[in-house]
Order: sequence, then C-alpha cells, then structure tokens
Amino acid sequence: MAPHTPKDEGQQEPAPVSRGGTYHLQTISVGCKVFARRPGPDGQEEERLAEVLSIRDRPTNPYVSRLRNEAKPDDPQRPEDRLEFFVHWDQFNKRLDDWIPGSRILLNRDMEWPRPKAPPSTKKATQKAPGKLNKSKSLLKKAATANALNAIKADVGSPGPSSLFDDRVSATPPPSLKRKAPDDEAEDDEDLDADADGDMDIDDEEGEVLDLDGGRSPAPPPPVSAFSKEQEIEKLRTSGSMTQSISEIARVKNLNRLQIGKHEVDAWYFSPYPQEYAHLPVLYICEFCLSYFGSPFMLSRHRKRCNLLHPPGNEIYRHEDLSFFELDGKRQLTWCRNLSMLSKCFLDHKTLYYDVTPFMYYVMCQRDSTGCHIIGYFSKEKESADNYNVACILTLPQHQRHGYGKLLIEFSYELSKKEGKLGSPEKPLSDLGLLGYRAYWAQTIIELLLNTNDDVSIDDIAQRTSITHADVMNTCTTLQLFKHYKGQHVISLPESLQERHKKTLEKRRRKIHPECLQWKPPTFTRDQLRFGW
Amino acid sequence: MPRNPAGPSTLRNRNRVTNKTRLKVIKESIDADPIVLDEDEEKARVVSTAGVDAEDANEHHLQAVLSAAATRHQSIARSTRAATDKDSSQPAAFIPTPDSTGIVQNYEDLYPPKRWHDPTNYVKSSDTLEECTSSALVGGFIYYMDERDKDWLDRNNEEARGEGTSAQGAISGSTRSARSSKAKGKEPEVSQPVVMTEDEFELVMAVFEKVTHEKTEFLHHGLEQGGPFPPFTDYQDAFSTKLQPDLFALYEVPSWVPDESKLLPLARAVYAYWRERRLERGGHPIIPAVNLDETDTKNESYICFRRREIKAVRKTRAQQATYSDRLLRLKHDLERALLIASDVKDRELTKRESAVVGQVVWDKRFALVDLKRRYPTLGTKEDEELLHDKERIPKKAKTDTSGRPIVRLHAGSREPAVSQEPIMHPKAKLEIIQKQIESEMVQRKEKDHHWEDAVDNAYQATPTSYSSRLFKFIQSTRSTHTPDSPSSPPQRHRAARLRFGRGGRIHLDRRLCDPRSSRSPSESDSDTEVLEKRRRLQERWKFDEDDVPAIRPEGLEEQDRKLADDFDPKYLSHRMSLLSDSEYNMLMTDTSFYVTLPDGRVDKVTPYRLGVINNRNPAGSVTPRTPGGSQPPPSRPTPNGVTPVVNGTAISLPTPLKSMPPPPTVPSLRISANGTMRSITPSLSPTVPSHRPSSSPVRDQTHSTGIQDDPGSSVKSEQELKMTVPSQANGPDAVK
Repeated sequence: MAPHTPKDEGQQEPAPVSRGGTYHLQTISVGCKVFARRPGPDGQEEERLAEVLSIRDRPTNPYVSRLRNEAKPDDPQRPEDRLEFFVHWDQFNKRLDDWIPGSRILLNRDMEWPRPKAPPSTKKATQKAPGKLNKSKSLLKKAATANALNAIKADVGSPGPSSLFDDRVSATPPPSLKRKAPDDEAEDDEDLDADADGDMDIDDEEGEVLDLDGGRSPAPPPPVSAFSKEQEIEKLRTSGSMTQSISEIARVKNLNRLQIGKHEVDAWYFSPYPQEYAHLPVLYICEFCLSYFGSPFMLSRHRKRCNLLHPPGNEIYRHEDLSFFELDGKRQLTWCRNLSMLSKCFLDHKTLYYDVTPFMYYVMCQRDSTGCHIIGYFSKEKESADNYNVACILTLPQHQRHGYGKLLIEFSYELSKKEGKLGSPEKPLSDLGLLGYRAYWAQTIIELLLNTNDDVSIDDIAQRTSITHADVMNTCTTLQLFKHYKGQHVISLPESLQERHKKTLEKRRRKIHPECLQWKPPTFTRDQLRFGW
Repeated sequence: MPRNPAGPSTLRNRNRVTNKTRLKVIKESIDADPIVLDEDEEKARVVSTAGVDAEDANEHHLQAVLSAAATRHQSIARSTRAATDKDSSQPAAFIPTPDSTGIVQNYEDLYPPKRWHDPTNYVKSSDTLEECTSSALVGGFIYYMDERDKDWLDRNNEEARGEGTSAQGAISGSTRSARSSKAKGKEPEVSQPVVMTEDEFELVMAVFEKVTHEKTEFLHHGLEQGGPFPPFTDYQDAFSTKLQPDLFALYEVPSWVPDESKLLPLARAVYAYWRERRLERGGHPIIPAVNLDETDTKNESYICFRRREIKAVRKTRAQQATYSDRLLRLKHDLERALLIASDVKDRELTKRESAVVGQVVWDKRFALVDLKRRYPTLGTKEDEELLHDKERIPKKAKTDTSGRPIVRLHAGSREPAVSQEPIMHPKAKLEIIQKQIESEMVQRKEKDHHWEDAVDNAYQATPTSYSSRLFKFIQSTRSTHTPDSPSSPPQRHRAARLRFGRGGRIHLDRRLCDPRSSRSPSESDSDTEVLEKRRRLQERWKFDEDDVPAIRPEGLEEQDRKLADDFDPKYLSHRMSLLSDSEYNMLMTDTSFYVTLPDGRVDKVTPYRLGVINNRNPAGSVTPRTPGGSQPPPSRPTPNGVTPVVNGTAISLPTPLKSMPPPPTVPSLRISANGTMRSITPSLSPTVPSHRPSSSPVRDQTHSTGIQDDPGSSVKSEQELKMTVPSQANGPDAVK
C-alpha cells in the first residue's frame, strides 16, 4: 500500500526475509516485496523494490486470441512468463504500477514477506502483536499471509495461486469474452475479478482504519489520526469528491488501455467501469458521449447511432478553437457518470462512491470539423462548504504537457472571480495537480506583483486573483518572495525571477480571455441542493 | 531541502507577515535574507507539498521535481547569475506517466469529419445522452451489437435468404409449437430465421431488455433461485402492437421501424438467441452496466454513484408547508378571486338592469306629468306620490347609519317596517329611525352589560393557567382564636397549593388572598403618611390581579363542590383493606434521622410511624406550642387504634374534592395560623421532630394515603415552609 520509507522500516521489527535463491516464483504471494527489473527513462534498467499486489496467469484474453493470437501462435514462452505480477514500485506513484512477467523478478535477491505473521514454513521467527501495527497494513498483510500459507499448502508445482480463488468465484465472465475462449482461459478472467475482490474484502472486514501518517510515528496508535471509512463516507455524503482513504480504492488497476477518439492511452488507476470490462486489452470510449464498449464493433455500431458532437451542455466560453461547456450533473447524469469513470482512470484520489448530482462540470474542448474533442475538465460543487472552486480537475493524458492544465486552472479561477469568491482546489491534490497549481499560483502572483506599483498585502493579492490567502502565502513562501529589508518586510522580485517569469510567459501559448466568458454563476434553491428528488 | 537556516535573522522573523500587512514590492535584486516563516525544516517540507496526501508526498518523482524547483528558487533568491545557467544544464526533473501516445487508425471511419460547424452563438443544449442517440429507447435502453451478435445475424440472414419462402410458411407452425412448448415449460428452438437489418436487430434486443427490466427487474436473483426464464409470451404484447412513441427517448418512432406484423416474427426469431445470451449473463442485462447495487458487498469497489442521502435542511415555517398545501391555498385564493369577479359582474348587471328599469319609470312618470299638465283636472293629489321615488328614503337612512356595524345590522331589519309604513316626510322618518337606533343602542348596551366588548376593549384577561387553578383556599379561623385583633377583616382567605417536587418532596406554595387589603390596618388610618403609603402600595398592586389565585374562595369553582369526608366509614372500609400493615412498612422509607442536640450529642430520632410503637406520646397528648392553637388537637382514632400519622402540611390537595372546612373542635391549621409560623421560624431543624406531633392531624381528611405514608416528605415540606416564611412574613407583621 504505502511506500514504506526506510525510516519506517527501521523502527518496526524487520519483516521476515527469504534470502535470494531460496524461493521461486510460485512462492511469491500477494503482499511480498521483491526486487524486479524496471526499464528506466533513459534506456537502462534499474532494479527496484516492488510490492506484489496481485498475481495472475498470463492473460490469454479472448479478444487477444481473436484479434492477435492468430498472428503469433508461438505460444509457450519462457515458463516463468506464465505468471504475471502486479507490482507497486517502491516510492513511485501508483500510476506506474504495472503487470510484469515473472521473468523480470529477480529471484536472486531477497524477498520480504508481509510483516505480521510469517508463513511458518519459511520463517517462524518474528511474530508481532498485530494490535501494535498499523492496522490497515496488518490486515492486508494478514490476508496476504493467509494466501501465502495456502499457496504453500497447495501444491507448489500447480499452475499458480489462481487456483486458490476458485471457490470464491462468483461473477460470470462476459459472454462476449467467453465465446471463443477455451475453458481454462475463461477461468483466468474469473480469477482476476475475484482477485480484485479479495483485496476489497480484506478492507471490508475490519480494515476501516487507515493511518494516514503512514507510520511516521514509531508506534502508531491506530485510531487517533485515522480517517475511518465511515468518517470518510460521512464527509463525502455532504460534499466533496476526493477520498482521503485509499483503502477504499481497489488497488489493482483493472483496465489496461483506453481508446478515446483518436488516442489510445494506458489507464493509470482503478476505475469502476463494469466489472465485466475489467482487464480487457482495450476499452473503447466514444469521444463525444464517453460511453464505453468492450469491443471495436460495438463502438462502430455506437458511432453510427451517436449524434453527439459536443458535450451535452451549454457553451460558456469560446476563444479560437477552445470552448468550455457547462454541464449539470443532475441533468446530464449518464454523461457525467461516464466522465467520472473515465477521469477516475487517471485520478488516484477521486472517489465515485456517491453520485454526480451535486456537481457542475466544466469541460474544455477543442473544436474542429469533427466535433468538440474533450481535452480536460474540472468539476465543481454546486455548493461547497469548504470554499473549494474545483473538485476534480483533469487533462486527459493524451493532451497533457501542452499547457491545458494551467488553462483549466485559470478558467476555474476566472469563474471564481465572476462569483466574487476566493477558491482553492479540493484536497488532496495529486502530484501532478500540485505542480500544476503551484506553477499557476506562482505565475499569477508574480504577474500581479510586476504590474502593481503600490504596496500590496496578501489580502489584496487574494482578492484580485481569487486565490485563497493560504495558497498565496504558501506560494510566496516557496518562491521565497518575503524578505526582510531595511527593517521591514518586503516582497522581493529579483531580476532573475522576473526573467524566468518572462520565459514561461513566452512559452505559454494560450490564456483565458475573460471577455469571452458568457457565464452567470448558476444558482440553486435549497430544495435543488438537497440532491435532487 | 537545502535552505539557509538564517541564524541571525531569526529574531526578525518573529514578526509574522499577516494577511493585512502592506508589503512593499521591490523589483530589483536586493541582498537580504529570506524570511523563513517556518524555521522548522520539517514543517517547510510539508508546506512545499501542502495539499498532497501525506502518503503520496514522499514519492520519488514528486520530491525530485520539488527539490529541483527549490534549488532554482534558492539560486534566484541568492541572485547568483551563474546558478541559472547551471540550472538549465540539468536534466529537467519530471513526473513520468504511463504511455499515452497510441493513435487509432480508423479514426476517420468512426468519427467522420466535416460534421461540425461552429454556430454563431454559443451552443446551448440540454439533450441527454439517450436523446442524442438514434432510436434509443426511453430509460437508457440502447442495445449495440457486438461481434457475436454480428455473427449470429449474418448466419440468420443467410439462412433466411436461403430458405426464402419456406420461412414465411413455417411461421404459423412455429407459433403453434411455441404455444404447445410453453405448456411444457420449455422453449425449444422454434424460431424461423427472418431477414433483418442491424438496426432492427438492435431495436428488438433493446425492447427485450427493456421489457425484462420492467417486468422482471431482478431476473438474475430469480434465476439464482431456480426461477423460470420469462417465456416469449411475456414479450409478445410489446411486439404485437405498434410501437408507441413513448417507447422512444425522443418520443418519436423512427421511420424505419417496421410495423407490428413484421416486428413480431423478428422478435420471435431473436428471442431464443437473446434468451441464450441473457442466460449466459446469469440474467443480467447483456450489455454490462455500472454496478449501482449498493447491497452487492462482494464487489464493493465496483459499486459507484450511490445515492446521497438528502441533506438536512434548516426548517423554516415557510418551508414546512408542503407544495400541495401551497398549491391548494393558491387554488383557493384564485377561486375566490374568480368568485368575487363574477359577483362584481352580477352586481353590475343588476345595476344596469335597475338603470334600465329606472329609465322606464322615468319615462312613464314623464308621460304622466305630461298628461297631468295637459289635463290638470285628471290628476288627484295621490298621484303626486307616484312621482316620488319611495325607495330613496330607506336607502338614505341606510347610508347614514351604516357607519357603525351594529347599527347596520338593525337598519337591515328595519327595512320591511319602513315599506309598510305610510308615506311620510323624509325628515320625520329619519328622526324616527334615528330614535329607533338610539334605543336599540341603549338596549344593546344593557344587554351587553356583563359582557366584555372585545371589539372596543382589546384587553382580554389571560386565561388562568392550570397550575394557578390548583390554589385552594383555606378558611382562616384566626378570627376565632385571635379575638384580640378585631381589626383584621373576618373574611380572610389564604390560598395554598401543594406541589410535588423531585424526589418526592412536597412544596407548599402560599398566596395571600389579596396583597393589598392585607395592608390596611385601620388604626393607622389617621396617619396621612401611612395612608399615602398605602395608597401608593395600592397603586403599585393595582394591575397585579394575577398575583391573586385565580379561583376565589367565593368563586364558581368553589360553589358546587361536593364534599367528601375521607373518614366516612364508607371510604374508610374500602381503603383500609387496600394495604396490609407490612405493606405500609414496605412503602415507608427509613425515616429516622439524626439531630444534634443543643448539648452536642447526636440523637437518632425516629419520627412517629404508623404501627410502630413509639416512646413518644401520641399526638393527642402533645401540647401544641403554638400560641394560637389553644385547643388540643383531636385524637382521632384510626382503625388500628393509633393516631394517624401527622403531617405537617395541612392544605388541601389538588384533588377535585373540596377540603372540608375544619370542624370547630379542631384547632387551626398550623400553617394558616400566623403565630404558628412565627413560632417555628426561630427554631431550626432540631426542633422539627418535636413539632411534628403538633402539626395538626386534621389534614388527613383530605390527604390521600400515599402522601400520608411519607413522613420524610412532610418534613421536607415543613422546611420548605420555613424557607418561604421570611419572604411573606411582612404581611402578618404588618397586621400585628
């Protein structure tokens, strides 16, 4: 779950370890930490610690067999590739979690077992009182160890731990998948589903408590700083779209690739698209209505009947080829649900626990002769108790790194200015979100400061930019703008900073033109805000 | 994070920058130490990742980017030019993301270009997804074929084409067999292939799904329990009539939809296939949908879009009225407006009618006058009357008197009388009427004499509260045994009320009957100062009517009371059998209590208890210490020969029964007697037990047994009494 910092490890009793070479692939169970090769950005491979979150037989998906297997029947590859492991790279964001073939696991390096109870066959030594441990971790590990135990009890030579899950299988695989699949392949699908369920079940049974501090304190007292699931849901009941508790989210990515319009992208995180679509090689998404399909033929049939060319809402901004559409989550229930599920693929902390009705959606589109292609969006609570002006914000990955994110942010503040309110995005931010917001705040504040000749206070800055005081303060601190000079506090903009600012301004191709915004803040009666009916 | 801890500047840093601090903006490079707002390095790190989940904040790539940025700022802040150069040479840190570079090959086929043209105005649209999909059924039932459907459809169409006419001929046979097979509970493959288009296939499938959803929404549960799969006849209705517009999301039947005669065979052909697919899905819809089933805990992570509970809304009175109420009221108001309007119309019509009639009358009179003028001999004096408008006069009178509502009432009733009367001069008539009115008014006034005119006199006495009704009057017997004070009026009543407090305490509230009159001792009449004072007091109390118990001793309430003697053998014989002695004991608390005697010893005193032999004398032999209580208390024998428990509170209870007036032999109640009160006041709690017997036994007459058995509470009430005495003592003092 959490990337374990070395500090953390040091303070707890060391986890049981299997020395390199003393175990083989079948021994590895969910929760174990192994070293695996990971291709680095510059071509060379690094050996990195990875936590195994799920194990499956190499997917021989019916669609793969249908579409591609005819082409390459060189089936039995290396035996170790028959197993695939879903790993979380230590200290990396979850979006880089990946299925890796068994051949990439370094069996000659040590394997770390999940901590609480070591499987007796390997190590009996360190047994720790589970109560003292970070609870959620211990739970996960407990279950994982149980698996490991089973795995050991079961015939090690059997195809894999997948057989363990057979008794739990409940979901029938989608018939479309099953058609040409031999029986064993169909079973594989079931295993995967069940696998994901297994994780959730663990969380369900008793794992409501998640220590957010990630074990920073030496002996973490579980309930004090914990954010229980009930609290979480209670908070979400009235507002918000972000989850603090990651235990709530299935940990194994269930989608591989998404085809959205012209683009095909990898999914980053779990998303609750119908279970039958889990682990399809590609999920097909209509660019305009965001409906999802398991097969290309369905998509083509859909495209023949879909008449939508733009998000089904009102255009409130148009400049050059960019438009913003405003949608009411209550009116456009299906569309907004589709959008939410799509964006969940790329947002870790987004939760779809509750429905979309209390949100407004602002969708940024690029127009061309085909229609209005969605680039990104942000959602916004119709009434935010915490003064958030953004709930979720996302640039679709195929459009990232083009400055659209900053445009979305700018637009969200433009709306806040129209409303006459200060606003801040809903927390927690993702890493990319943090960088985007920090860049926007820095740019906006510096711009403002360069264009003022009077003394300013933080309050002035906040009022003129709609950025909250805390965010302004934070940005100025990180930029180290506050100086003590000649006995007074000043804001200092050194020339080097100005230069850098100028450069980024040049790089920036687009900006929001407030005069193109035709928008009145939507108003809702009390009754309408009571979430509908 | 590399940062200069800025040792010497820490003192200056104490001055916080607040939100309102005006800060000078310096746009040149200056050589100054940055203010480290948070000296704590750890805190600074948190600031840099503020808003990110604590667990994610330590991630490798994020930290790399942040630290790169921090060093950049650091270098800028230090304004070392070289640093910026060096900075650019570093490989830019970034957060890697998964691949997003795939390009779809058949994009143009799927999304044909040249379909979108920018409208002049901003797009306004509120169509939902269903409404934007061709031939979608209402409720979001849209079926899209997949590859498998395509295979089936192709095969079906081939077969249908290959067999051609024979398929048509076989239809009737197939229905028959379908019917017979239904009886067996099985659906064999009876359908005949019929050529159909993809759209038709999808429509039929969608209708199947929709009807299934409506009729057997929980088919999957049914199948799990071995329930039957709905037979084709369940769906026959949907296909055997023409598809209605309300089936479609756009409320319009697409033009290509075949009519029912063609649709039914299609449906029949598809049914078996649809059934097969649906069964494969375990009864779920063929196209998977988002899991909204909140009870499906097994797949919890896939459940999404739960309904939010309704937000609690602050209740205001305006909101409490329901919409239906408001609409009803609105309807009522509108109806009334309509009614008024129609009445006004009627009135105006009547007016017009009368005007027309008046015109006719006028014409006739004119003719008459003309006639008379022409032939003066014809007319008699009486004819003159015909020229007058008789009705005018009563009308005038009416308008004159209509100023007052009461009068108007009678003016209306007078009208017939007027019409009977012979014609007389308007003035005289007016006088008569006026007189009549006056007399009516006088009569009315007489009639209303005992009534409060709520119209003119807005004051209405506040209704007496229930609690104040509980005050009961005890007839004072003071006059009998304090003959030395003739000044006190013989009719002095005291009101008192018993009330039960927490823990069974009994409180006694007393009310002087009339606070003002108590301050009128006659001997000081001559003293002007006293007189003045009294006048003022009276003035002050003038409106304090409510200070007096609501029910006066001579009030109605007291008059028709039924007297019941609690000690009437009739009652006693019943009551004495209710509880046995042991039960009495059980009901009693341990009443003994400790008293510190004057010489310092602590003595345990057990108050007198029914049925318990006590070393103290029975009540009868105790000499009351009250100066007023000159007569000995009666030794009233109880059934078991012991004097009844003596309770201190000699007040009638809030029982509907009227307390019996004390018999002449009985001494005054201790409380009601002034002297008694005062004699108690100086002696505090230790004396209580000794006083107990002296408190009159009379009170048992009205006391219910329950209270009687609780001596503890009676003690309490006595103490309560003492507490209240000083505040009320003024009155009796003044009397003396």
